[in-house]
Order: sequence, then C-alpha cells, then structure tokens
Amino acid sequence: MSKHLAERCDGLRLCRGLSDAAAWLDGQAAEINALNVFPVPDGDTGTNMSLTLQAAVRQAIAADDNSVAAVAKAAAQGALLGARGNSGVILSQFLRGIARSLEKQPDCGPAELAQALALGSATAHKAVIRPVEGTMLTVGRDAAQAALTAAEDGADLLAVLEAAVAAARASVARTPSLLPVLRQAGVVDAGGQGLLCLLEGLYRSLSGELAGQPAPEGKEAAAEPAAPLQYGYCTEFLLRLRGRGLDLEAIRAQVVGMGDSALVVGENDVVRVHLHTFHPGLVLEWAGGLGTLHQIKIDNMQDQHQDILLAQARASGQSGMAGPVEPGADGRPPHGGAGAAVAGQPAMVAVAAGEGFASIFRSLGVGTVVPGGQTMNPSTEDLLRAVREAPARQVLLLPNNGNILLAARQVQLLTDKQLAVIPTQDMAQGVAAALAFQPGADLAANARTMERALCAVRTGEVTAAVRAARLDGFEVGPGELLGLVGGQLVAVGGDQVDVVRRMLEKMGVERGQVVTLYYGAEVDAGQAQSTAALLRARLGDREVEVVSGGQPLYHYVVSVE
Amino acid sequence: MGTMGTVRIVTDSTADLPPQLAAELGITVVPLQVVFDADVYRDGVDITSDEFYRRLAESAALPKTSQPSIGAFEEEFERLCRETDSILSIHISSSLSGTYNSALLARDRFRNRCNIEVLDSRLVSMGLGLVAADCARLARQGADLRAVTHFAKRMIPNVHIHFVVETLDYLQRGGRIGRAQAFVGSLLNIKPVLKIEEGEVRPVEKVRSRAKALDRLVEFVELFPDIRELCVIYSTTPDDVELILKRIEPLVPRERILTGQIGPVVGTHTGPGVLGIVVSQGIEA
Repeated sequence: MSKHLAERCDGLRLCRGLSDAAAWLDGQAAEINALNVFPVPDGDTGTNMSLTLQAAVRQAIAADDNSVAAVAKAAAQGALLGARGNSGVILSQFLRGIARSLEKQPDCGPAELAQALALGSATAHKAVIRPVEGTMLTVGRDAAQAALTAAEDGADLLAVLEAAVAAARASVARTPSLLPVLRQAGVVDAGGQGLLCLLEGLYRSLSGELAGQPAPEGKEAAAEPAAPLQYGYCTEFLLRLRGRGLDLEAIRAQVVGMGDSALVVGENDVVRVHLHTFHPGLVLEWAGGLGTLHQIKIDNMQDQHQDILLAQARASGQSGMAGPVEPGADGRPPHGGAGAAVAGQPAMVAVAAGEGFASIFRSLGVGTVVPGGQTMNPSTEDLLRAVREAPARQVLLLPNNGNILLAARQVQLLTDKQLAVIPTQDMAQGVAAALAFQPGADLAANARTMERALCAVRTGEVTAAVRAARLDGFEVGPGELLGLVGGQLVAVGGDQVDVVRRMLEKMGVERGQVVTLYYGAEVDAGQAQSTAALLRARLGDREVEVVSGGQPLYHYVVSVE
Repeated sequence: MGTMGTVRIVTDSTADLPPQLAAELGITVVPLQVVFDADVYRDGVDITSDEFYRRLAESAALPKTSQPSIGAFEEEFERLCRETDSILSIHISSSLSGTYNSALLARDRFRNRCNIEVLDSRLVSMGLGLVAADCARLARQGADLRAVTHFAKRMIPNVHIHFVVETLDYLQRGGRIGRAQAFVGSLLNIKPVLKIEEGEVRPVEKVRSRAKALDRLVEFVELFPDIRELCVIYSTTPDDVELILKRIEPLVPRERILTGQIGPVVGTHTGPGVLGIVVSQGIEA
C-alpha cells in the first residue's frame, strides 16, 4: 500500500480524514441501526453517530487555522452541540478528549495520535455514570491501548492507526461475550460498530484508499463552506387579528404544520407566534392574511449556531475545551439574552414525538416542546436552544427518553440558566412529571416533586417487530406485536388487545387505578377506542383513558398509575 | 355578667354551619342567595342542600349567587342590638364574595348604639364555620368583644382547607377559580387538589384519579402534629366521607371530628362530587 502521508498529519489532512470518515460512517448508518438489540423499528445509533460526526466535520471545516489543534477543537465543539442520542454524546466526548490531547499541536505524529485516542477513551468513560463493558467504551479503550503499544514499538502514524482499527474490530466482535443481551439478540454492539467505522474511515482516508472531498486549498476556502441551510429561520411575530373571534386552536394547528418548535399564545385578538421554519415568507404571507403583523423578527439559526460556538470559545479561553457559556462582562448571556425571563416561575421544556403528546404537554403548561423526530433523537443544540428560548431563568427539562438523558445533562453544562433535568425515560413519565409541576414552587421543590411523580408511573410500549428474534424467552416473528416494559420484552402476539392486556398484567395493573392508552400514528382513533373498551371489560372498575399521542412507530404507549 | 354583655356572633350561610350547631351556639347566620333562572332562594332558608344539588344536576344553566344586601345585615344587627352591645360579624373571604363589604356598610348605622366588629375570615365553608363556632363558645364563657376578636384573628391563620373537585368548571364559570386557572385545559382526565390560601382558591396538585386525590387529603391531615378540630366537608358523596373518616381515625380522636355538607352557595361555585378537609390547629387560648 503506497503511503500518501508523511510522518505527521496536519490539520487539513485531519479535517479531510474526519470528513471521509463521516461519509464512510454515513454509508453504514442503516446497517448499524439494524444492530439494535431489540427487533424494534427505532434503532438509530448509526444515524445518531453519523449526524454527530457530520456536525463535527461542519465545524472542523470552519476551523480557525490549519493546525490539528484547531481542527480537533472545532470538531469537538461541533460534536458537542450536534450530539444526538447517548451514542452521539459519548462520541462527542471521545472527540473532546482527542482535542484536549492535541491542544497547541500544529500537527500530529504516531505518539500524539496514540495519546489522543487514549485521552479520548478516558474522557468518554467519564461521561457515563455507569460504564458498561461490551459497548463503545470498551472498543475505544481497546483501540487506544493497541495504538499506544504500536507507538511505543516505533510504528509510524498509519501503522498506529491500523493497529487501532484492528483492535477495534476484534473488540467489536467480542462485545457479545461481554453483554448477554447482545449474544441473545445475535448482534454486536451498535455504538462499538459505529466507532469502528469512524476509525476505519479515518484510516482509509489517511492511507489514500478513500476518494475524499478535494483537499481544501487554503484557510479561506476552509472558512467558507457552501453548506446548505441546516437549521432554518427562527421566526417570531405578533399578529393582531382582523375582526373578532380568536380561534387560537385553528391558528395553532396551522402554525404547527409549517415548522418546528411552534409556540402560539393568544389573548383577545392578539396572537404571539414563534416558529422554526425554512419558509418564513410563507408563514408571514399566511399570517398577514389574518390581520396585521408587528414586532417581526427573523433570525438565521445557522448564524445563531455560530454565535453559540464563538461564545463558547471565548468562555473556555485557552483550554480549548467547550466549557459552560459564561455571562458577558455586563452580566448578560453572550448571545442576545435569554428571552423575556420571568422571575419566580420555572419554565418547562419537554421532548415529544407526536402531535398528540405535544398538545398534552402544552396543555400541562410545558412552554416549549422539542420535536423528538422519528426516533427521539434531538441534538444537544436543539435542547440548548429550547432551554435558552424558555421565558424563565429557571428551567425544568424533560428528555422523555433514556437515549436523550446524556444530551440533556450536557445542556446543563452549556447554559447559564438554572436547569434541572428530570430523568424521564419515556413520554408517559414525562406526562406524570409535568402534571406534578406546581406553579407556586421554585426549581428545586419542583424538581423533587416531579422526580417523585415519575417514579409512580409504570410504562409499557407496543410496537411491531422489524425482524425475527429470540429475546427474553420469547420467539418473535417479523411483524408480530411486542409489549415492552422497562427495556424488557413481556408480551408477544398478533392481537393488539391481547398484547396490551398481557403487558398490563406484567406492569402490575391490579395495583394501579388509572390506565392511560396513548395511541400512535399507526393506530386510528376508532381502533384505539375499541381496544380501550375491551380492556375496560377485563379490568373492572379501573379507569382506562384513551388519548391521541400521535407518536411514530409505537402503536401504544401505556401507563399505569 | 348579664346577657346584655354577651358577645353575639354573626356569620353568613357560606360557613355551611349545621343548623343545629348554629342554633345551639346562638350564632346568627345571614343567608346569601342562589338564583336559578328567575327563582331566588335564600341559602339554607328557602332551599336545602339536597334540593340544591338535585336541581343543579337537572339544570342546564348554571345558577348564580349573590351576597346579602346591606339591608339584610341591618335587620340582623338591629335585632341583636336590642339584646347586646357587642357583635362580632365574621364572614367569607372578601376575595370570594362581597358579603364582608355589605356587613361593613351595614355597621355604619350602628356606630353609636352598638359595638360591631366586622372581620374578613379569609376562609370559607366550615373553615369559616369552625372559627364562628369557637368564637361563640368563647363568648359564652364571658369573653368580651376585644378578646373574642383577638382570638378570631389568631385562630384564622391556623385554619387550613384542602379540597378536591370533580371538575374545575364550576369554579371557572363562577369566577372564583383564582390561581387554579393554571390547572384548566388539561387534555387528560385529572382531579385537581386545591386549597384556600390568603383568602382565595389556589392549586395544590393535579392527580390522575379520585383515589389518589383522597390519598392527598389524608396526607394533608398527616402534616399537622397538633389538630384541635377537623371537619370533613362534602357536596354529594357521603360515601367518600366514610372512606376518609376511616383513614383519619388513627390520626385524630373521633370527638374532634365533624362533618358538614357544602351548602348551595358554595356548591354553586364548586359543583357536585367535592370532598374537602378543614383542619384547625391548636393555639393557646
């Protein structure tokens, strides 16, 4: 193999390497998604890691200069904000460790690379409260160790990386022996496979195997990527309605259909609208037909994103790490201000997928609903933006999915607001937590009551298997309905009512008083009602409430309280 | 001390005082009005609680309530002034009704004839009722107007009310929902747990079931280490009263527990299915 690389790698090569690695990982994302232990349709580790890496690359391309230090630092900052899912957050911590190790370095040789991988691995381990063997952490550590050994033995840069890749590959293959669920499901660890792909892609790029993007010609070229708009426009305005009769619900329904993070508040004939959309013109055009527009504000969210990064860079000073955003000299947050902060009452931010759930959260007083997407994977930045836009200095964040928890905790480090993360694992817990919110109480008191409330809820989820599997003692055929409680398969079958009923039994429904059936986008209202009616007949005098959740992929989310 | 000196207690029908108790303690109860379409009923005089809730269930339109006229107070003060020269007139929270204002204005005519203290209890239903009753007892023991008034002012902050409503509709349509407005609009079936604080209705917690709401009421009782008197109030569900009584039996001696039905005027604003607990904490006499 002819080596296209000199002994040391500079920032430009590293940048290209990361970019090629991102493309390589993206190509395998779907396969990695399918490595989900559960045969459920929302495996998204591949997508999440790929998107996280792409966010890293976007920033790396815009790095201050061509040193590996600058590129690695930019990549780490991009990943920090762009991290999606737990795997994305862990990946961002790998990059953070690598960036810290390469601080002040103009370029990178075999020893520096090995040390960077080692610090990356150590930093990633620290991000997880209870590190588990047989995951991305194991693979990263094994790769780093092999790299260190190779560097000590005098290998050159490419050989060190090669050793890291080989060790990663072997480590991934071993993950089923370390994690019983993997062995049972007959898959390797998805996060580990993702990390392997990243290292593989990096190696193939640096060794000349991959045809990467043309090397950036100079700093100027690197600084001006012709990136398509990633974020859209943050659009806000006041609408003074023409004529009487404020139909807030109709207006809200229309706005919600035109973008994300919609907020519609109205009284008498004045409506305040806030929305993230790619077509602010269309929104204003429509709204203008209903009355007059005032206090119009449109921001390019890509610019806002750059501002956040800039502020972080300033705040973290020489360390090269993305630290918490500090208030500016005048005490105000560096980016524009945190909106109309209302003293006293904390605000709630929740992640939700499905218009029904979003409406429920809003009706319970959640000011900002972050769209979860198909697989509940908002980025750290999506969460950070929502927290910043919340009209209060104290914010309670409900991640509503186990896979969003790490990203939520990252936001605590990135915001200057007082943020409490309520560790809700699913949207039903989120509902219970939001219900427990008390307008008169402060942040700490609310955090306590909300956490207590989510402990009183048991949640089950019903979806259809995407493949055959043997799991938790069940034989699953593709397309069969699965009842899942707390990460465990408890019921399998072909009939909705039957699966829900058996799942409820496993959830201890005899000890509960209220059953709530949130039906998803896959189920129509009539079906849901008849399922509920049949359940009521079986469950005696328990209340069975049927509500539209509108969630993707999961026919039912069921809670017992 | 002759009967001419005994302080007489006046309150209003929102105190939901059981009629026998009011009679026994010599408490004058000035009725508010409930208006169903064109029919005007004096609370507790022209319509009983049971009749009211029956009519409420059958009526499409919501009844309205109105405070006693100044004249109604003047009549009672006039009558009492012939028997005593000291009157304590204690009423439903001024944030919930204009009754207190009517009493204040009525007092003006009696400035030179009679000492009348008018007090805003910041309470309602048997919260107000327990205060009126204890004041009457104290008056019977010979306390003068200043002492009774002073006692009432010390007792009021130690009376606490938590209650559960079936629906917030009645509070909302009657305009007394206060900060509990925050609980309106939930897309889920919730039972609101509410309280009276600083004279108005305030939210405590939203729960998903009636059973949980009852749990909360029991937990409310458990908050108090020293309970002088406790009253369970209800509108249309006496069975729930039994459930609650059973559960608080270990906490409060039976002789300190009363029960009372929420009358038509308060009932107009809270609706059927209400259950509540009034706790009166001990204070030194």
